[in-house]
Amino acid sequence: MLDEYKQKREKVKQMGGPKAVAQQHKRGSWTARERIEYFFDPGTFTEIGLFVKHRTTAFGMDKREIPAEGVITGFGKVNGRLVMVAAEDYTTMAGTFGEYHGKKFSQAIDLAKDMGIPFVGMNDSGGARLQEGMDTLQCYAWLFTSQVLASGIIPQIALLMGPCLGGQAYHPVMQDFVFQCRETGRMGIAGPAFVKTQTGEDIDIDTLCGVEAHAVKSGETHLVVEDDKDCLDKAKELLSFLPANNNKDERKSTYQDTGDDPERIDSELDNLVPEEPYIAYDMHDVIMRIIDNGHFFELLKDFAQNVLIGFARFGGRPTGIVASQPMCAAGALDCDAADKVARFVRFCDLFNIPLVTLHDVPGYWIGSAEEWKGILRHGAKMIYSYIDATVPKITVVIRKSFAGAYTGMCCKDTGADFMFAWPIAKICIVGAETAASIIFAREIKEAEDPKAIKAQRIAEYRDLFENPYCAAERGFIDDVIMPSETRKYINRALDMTENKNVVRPWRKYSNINL
Amino acid sequence: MTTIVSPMPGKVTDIKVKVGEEVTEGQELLIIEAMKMQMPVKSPQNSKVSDIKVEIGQGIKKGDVMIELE
Repeated sequence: MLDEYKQKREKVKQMGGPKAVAQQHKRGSWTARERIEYFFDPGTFTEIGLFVKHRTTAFGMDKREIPAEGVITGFGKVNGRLVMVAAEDYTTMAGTFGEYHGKKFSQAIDLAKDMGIPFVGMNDSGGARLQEGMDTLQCYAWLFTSQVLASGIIPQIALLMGPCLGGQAYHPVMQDFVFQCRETGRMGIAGPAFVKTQTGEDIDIDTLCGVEAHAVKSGETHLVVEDDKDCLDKAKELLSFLPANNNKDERKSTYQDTGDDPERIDSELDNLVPEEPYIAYDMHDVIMRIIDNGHFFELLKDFAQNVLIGFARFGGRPTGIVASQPMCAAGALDCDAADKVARFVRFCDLFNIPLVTLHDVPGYWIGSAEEWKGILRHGAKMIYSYIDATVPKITVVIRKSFAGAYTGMCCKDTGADFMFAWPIAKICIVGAETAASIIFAREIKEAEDPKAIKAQRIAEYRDLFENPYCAAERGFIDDVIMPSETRKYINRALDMTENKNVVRPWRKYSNINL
Repeated sequence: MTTIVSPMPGKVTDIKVKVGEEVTEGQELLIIEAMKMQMPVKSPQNSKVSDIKVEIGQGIKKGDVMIELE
């Protein structure tokens, strides 16, 4: 009896056999079991559903053995904290997605949701198991339902370590974060062969579904990683910032003693940002100086580079950062930037992670290209998400904050609990040049020396409104602070808002412009 | 040949190189302005300017070719 047990178990653990495993290694990938081994703290992984088996009989499938149904599911500890995993095994029938494969996958998510622990999916699959016909199609529905019902309850991370093509590719995209291995991770609604037969388009898989496609063009990949090891290391790093679930008390488990003084003054900041609003600089330089130990886990860094998003710690407390990037497209907000920010803000809100927003923004992008793409409805997502969010929100105006973008990036009356501005800040409806040329259009046109009058009127408007004090006089800014003291003010504000509690009347949800 | 395309719609406010000039990686080629911001466009490599397709004051769209390098 014991022999049978050992034999059966050992057979499943062999996965697709030595030849298939060698193939997997040849591609530069680890097997699903090697990935799990590396991902979890030694000896903490418990597998479930090891003996699950398909029930298909068509096309000789009744004789086909697929160890663990091509997906290994279970739970274990990552840096001492529980995580649920489903790791597809490409060595067994190419990790194809069939009825029981899908069942294992979605049940793993259900379990993670019910127990309140993060879910990590390791995608490496040849797609739908076509031999199963309707049964394979239906299990996509199970998977999507499980993950959508778990969304907002537990963090879900997709690791694209191999292919993930067809309807299945909705799965990683609908998780909270997608990491993609540079050489092996490939994701798409359809692969090149299908694209060719259906549309005639001739395109290779790397171009259609690789890292350039998703990290730069589509904005679906949050982080490009070099290989399996890098991918798992980065997933562990991300998990360290995330609470296990949406229970408010849970976030304290992510606090760490970083050893960085919360009141640390950085005098370099006082001269870091050029006062002239038209000179670009790299906002990373500001972020690195105010967060704990300069540790910034940036996401979507190659997509909509005019804004930056990512996680960092303030006084050991994980915090979501949203910041303008004046170095790219003037830091102005376009449709892609708005999408990038809005989903991040909503994630942080769902998991009780406070938000720090840094402004240096001239406005939303104007002109036909963005207008027709729908900048109003995309831009609206930012306004909605910040106002809807009930987590602590701290905003600092680094240099400029104009027009709709002032509200879209969380001002005091679109949700900031505290809003500070640097002395060089210019906060106004529009810049002086635009304002003066509209208000005094006729006067300038009819003047003997239009240029001189225009310059005079711009200067007047600038002196009157292009500063942080007009906003501060009305209480829209809580204080004008020295740049060197930014970290101190943010930390004090986060301490102050630690137990923030917002109660709003019931509604199903807001009608955000999706 | 490498083409330098505009990263955003805007206006060319300064051209800092001439046709035939040797340029080094990171060197500013021209300045474009949009949304109240002046953005330097830098050379991605050591090369030589083979063509300049824009003039100072000219309006450009995102993706327009501005300079060609050898």
